[in-house]
Amino acid sequence: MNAQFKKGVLELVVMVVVDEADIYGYELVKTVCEIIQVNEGTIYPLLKRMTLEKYFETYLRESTEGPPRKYYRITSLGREEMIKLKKDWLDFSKSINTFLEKGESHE
Amino acid sequence: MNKNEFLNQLRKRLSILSQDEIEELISEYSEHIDHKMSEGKSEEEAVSDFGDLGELSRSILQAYKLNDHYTNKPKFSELLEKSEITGRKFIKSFEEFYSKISLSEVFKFLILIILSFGCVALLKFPFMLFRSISLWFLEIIFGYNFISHFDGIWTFVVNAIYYLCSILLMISVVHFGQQRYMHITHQSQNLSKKPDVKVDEVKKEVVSEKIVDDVKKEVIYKEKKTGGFKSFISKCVNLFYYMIIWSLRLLILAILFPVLIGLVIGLFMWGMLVFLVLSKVPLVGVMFTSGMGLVFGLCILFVIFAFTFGLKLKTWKYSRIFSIILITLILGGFGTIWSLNELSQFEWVENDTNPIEYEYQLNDIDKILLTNTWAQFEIDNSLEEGVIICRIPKLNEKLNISNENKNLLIVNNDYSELNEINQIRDGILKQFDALKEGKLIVSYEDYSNGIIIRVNEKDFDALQNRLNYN
Repeated sequence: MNAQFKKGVLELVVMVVVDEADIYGYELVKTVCEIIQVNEGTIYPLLKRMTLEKYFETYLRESTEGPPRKYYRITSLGREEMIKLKKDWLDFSKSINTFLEKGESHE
Repeated sequence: MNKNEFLNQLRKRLSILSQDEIEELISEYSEHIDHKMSEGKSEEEAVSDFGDLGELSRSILQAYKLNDHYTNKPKFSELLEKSEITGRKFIKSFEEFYSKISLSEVFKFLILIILSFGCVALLKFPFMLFRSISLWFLEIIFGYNFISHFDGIWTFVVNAIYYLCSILLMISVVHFGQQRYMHITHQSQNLSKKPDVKVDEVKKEVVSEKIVDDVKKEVIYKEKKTGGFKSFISKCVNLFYYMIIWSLRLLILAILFPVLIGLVIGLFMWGMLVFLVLSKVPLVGVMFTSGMGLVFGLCILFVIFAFTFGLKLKTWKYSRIFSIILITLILGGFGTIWSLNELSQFEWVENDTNPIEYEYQLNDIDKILLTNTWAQFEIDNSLEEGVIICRIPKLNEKLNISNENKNLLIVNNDYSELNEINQIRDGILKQFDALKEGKLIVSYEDYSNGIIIRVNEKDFDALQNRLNYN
């Protein structure tokens, strides 16, 4: 898939995943990578940026194995942003789809 | 590439970020690799999944809104941007601060300030007492002469310790205020969230107060939302509280300023010491010790400054500070012995203050010109008639017979017209020359012995007639 497409939608996917349940870094990366094929390394900076932008907040939780894990939780600001992005995406993909389907019917 | 190599390279590329941020990211990536390996992937595979390191670090830096072709030297525009962010943060923290604080805390803080000032004032008495008693003892042991030289230094030392104690006291008050402030904002943030969050360290510290305060905060928080007169008063009081913290900070700054100037002068003196060492005067130990003292002083000043203004010194862990102090003490002790040993190698000489007496025949002199100096006249009947004796200490005063007019005796002071810098310079040069010869001048000229002109009683009027002042 085109890298530019991925980049645009990655943020939304990450938000939706975090919104479903609080999640720690590795699990999140794994889940996201199952949905879109992206470089694993790029998700951490994205998480960092979104945390700095106050879309996410983090807290530590003990794990049965290894050191405590950093969990991400969506904030109300993040949720607002997610809803907005989701709507944008759906509107956008809908209009593109209609446009493309129209093109196909002409062929 | 194995995990450690990868993490080290990443760390290098992210070096522009703050240490905390780097560690946080590194631990995240390290955990990620560990997880992958526990799922059966090899170390190499887990690392290679991250793709190109350059691209990765670039995208990380972009997340922090940093330039992707970032060099380690911050550019001016970035500095500007940074200062703007800091400014905004400051204003924001100010707003947060003054909308989320309770009256009772303000009063607690005010009482603390009053108490601290009381302590500073009370502290003066034991210090005064200590100074007097210690001086008294020293006088008994070493005699009055020693004390007359030592008094100033000792008073200075005692005062310095006193001021240091005062500064520490005020810093602790400011610090207390800052912690209060942080603790309050922390709590008010928690109010808007679910209470099931894991208790972090900050919270643990304040947990005992929290139970009581939380209820109070909640009330205030609700008041904030509805506005009202109470919150207005609270705002005003909080503003006052904030101003007190700042005025205390400025006070500390004002006290520190002379210390800073002292350090700058010390640096200048140290430069001269280096010059001496370079001209092969054996003062390496003195240079080393005093240089270390200067650096230590600067460090202390910096730490005091940082604590006063609430700068983050997270990397300055207490253990590190203690080890630095310990090393300084050991090196300082060693350096002092070294310096004393070096200084004992010098021949300690006292400055020659013996006055010189010149004898003139009064008839040879038509005029005595005293320029910018002062002389004392004594009648000495043991002298023969017509003889005057000028007693000149080895000061800056000079005595000479004018070249043009052989009958004019000029007594002048070289330096009075010029500024004191010349005297200081001359003193320093004198000491320099002495040091190069392996001597150390330990006392300066006795300025109390001025010019004395002695004459027989019968010639006194004649002398007075010849005197001219300029």
